[in-house]
Amino acid sequence: MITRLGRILLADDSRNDVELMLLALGHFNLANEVDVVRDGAEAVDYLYRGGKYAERGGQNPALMLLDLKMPKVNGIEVLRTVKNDPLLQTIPVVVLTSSREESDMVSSYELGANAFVVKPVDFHEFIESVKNLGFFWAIVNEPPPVSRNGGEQLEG
Amino acid sequence: MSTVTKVSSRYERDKELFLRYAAIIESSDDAIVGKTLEGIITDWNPGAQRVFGYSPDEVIGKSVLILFPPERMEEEMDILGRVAKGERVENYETVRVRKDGKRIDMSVTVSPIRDSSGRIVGASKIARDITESKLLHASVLEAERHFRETLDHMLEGCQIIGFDFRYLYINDAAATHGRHSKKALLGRKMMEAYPGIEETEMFAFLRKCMENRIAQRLENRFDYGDGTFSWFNLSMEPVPEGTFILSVDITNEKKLQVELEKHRDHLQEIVNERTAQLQEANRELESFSYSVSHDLRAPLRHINGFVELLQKKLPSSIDKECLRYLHVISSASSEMGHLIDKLLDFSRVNRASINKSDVDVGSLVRQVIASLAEEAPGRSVDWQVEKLPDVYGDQAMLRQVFINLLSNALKYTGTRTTAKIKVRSISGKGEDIFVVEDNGVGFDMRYVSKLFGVFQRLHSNDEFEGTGIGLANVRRIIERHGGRTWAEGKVNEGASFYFSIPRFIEQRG
Repeated sequence: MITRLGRILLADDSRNDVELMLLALGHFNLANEVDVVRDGAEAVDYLYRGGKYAERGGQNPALMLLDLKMPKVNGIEVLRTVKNDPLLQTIPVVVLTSSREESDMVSSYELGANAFVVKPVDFHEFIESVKNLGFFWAIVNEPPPVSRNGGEQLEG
Repeated sequence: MSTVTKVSSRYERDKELFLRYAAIIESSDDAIVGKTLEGIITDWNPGAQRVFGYSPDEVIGKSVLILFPPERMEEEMDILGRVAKGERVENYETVRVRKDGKRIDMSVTVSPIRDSSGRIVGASKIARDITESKLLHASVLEAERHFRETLDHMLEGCQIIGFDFRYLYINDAAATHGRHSKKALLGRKMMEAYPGIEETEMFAFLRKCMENRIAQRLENRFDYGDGTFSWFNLSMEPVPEGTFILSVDITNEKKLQVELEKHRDHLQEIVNERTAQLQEANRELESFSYSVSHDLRAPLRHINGFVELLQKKLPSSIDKECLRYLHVISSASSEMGHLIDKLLDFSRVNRASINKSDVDVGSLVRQVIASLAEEAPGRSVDWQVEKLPDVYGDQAMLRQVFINLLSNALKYTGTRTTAKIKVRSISGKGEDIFVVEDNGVGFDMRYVSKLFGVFQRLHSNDEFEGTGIGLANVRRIIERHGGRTWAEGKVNEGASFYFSIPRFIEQRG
């Protein structure tokens, strides 16, 4: 299956989770479309082409998988940055977290998260969740045109 | 003839005058007594008889001294001496003695009696009984003395201030309050005794009372000028002389009040401190449960995931025992994930805010039973729900209570051909008691205290699956409603779970 859209940005500090998620996304050959950042600060750099991402080309990511509990800048702060920036706010953001904390869920949705998924402990459930997410957001869902325009503006 | 007529007419005129005077004397209430210059009684009117008790026969010709008390005998010599010189003794107050020995206070007027040639031949004495008026006067004086003494020695300070702000009266307490002697204050102006007093609030009230003639009340701190002070409750009343001030020393009460306030503030501080500590502990607990939920689940997920991956990579020739080990690892980690989730549910029950409303328990129970029955197809269950009262509580939490109790009942009747599960209520004192009964495996009452503890179980997982959180949740939820939980059971003879919810009539719409 060939992706038609931009890349998937995966922000998660846990190498194990990243490995498992990449494995799951591999089911739709999405694994190669994924850019991984290890903390919130790196995620922000990626989005704004700062730091080591200064030379990054291309559009806004088609999907952002965002872990909440990360070093430096946490997921909630990244989410706030994305959803408050007119050029970034249309990027679909799926909050992926180990936490079942209701307060996290509430603040994620309030900030404009497109989905909130608790990573299941069970391997099969976990793989299923990530597969479904990748399938839906990166393949089925048509992103809003503004997202691509935003990307083009940034390029230009 | 004319001379005779003249003589006879003058005689008639004198006789008439005499009779008139005699009638006046006879009818007088005063004692009128005639006596010689030697003090021998010559005349005694009915008034004298009434006042002294002697009849005329008893006294005429006797010495007037029979009317005198022994200590006043000399008086008569003096009076008679003065009368003999032609003097008149008027309204002389003295004491005389009645026939019955009783002394009477008298006002006496003694005048000389002259014969036709003008020679003084005797004395007339008009005596009035003034015992009563004397007594009245004395009692007035006594009353005044009594009141003054009372005022003087009252515990409250009393003073009368004249319109020119001079001390007109001051009692002992007021002098003590003012730390000046009465002598030093009486007649002096307040501003002389206490320089600067005219600038005080108290003086402003006093001026208002003086000028507007309206009573004033105030609590006043009186500074003595040496750094010390006292507190007084002052009442100012307008009086004809100026203003009457009643002062009550409330320094001790004030001190006590200050002391109490200090204690109260201290208590408040302690409460604040404790509250802060509790809030801190709560925050710690929250962050603890957050990291439990986040940080402990992640490694489990990794164990689970990588064991699965390992299983896939292993050659098909791997022996069964190795596969079983891997299976144990993965199901143990799944189980632990489940336990963590339940533990977090429990901590959420503790932290979630409670939203109370009227809850129709009957329909709540029927809903729960319907969904449980759906999840247990093939089970033969005889559900009985008696009429249940509405309660004032958190609908979602109470639903959780019934889910836990009824699913427990369903679980522990699993070995029965027909499970009997009954929900009923008892009307308690100020509370409604709900009972969930079953005919299941029951429990040993020796372990009843462990039933509601977190992670406490009376059955192994092989017998009945469970985490040991359900009843702990029930207890927490009911405690948060101000109610109680308890249970009764017998091994193999079923169990009854009870909980109570207080009735808050006044809180219902």
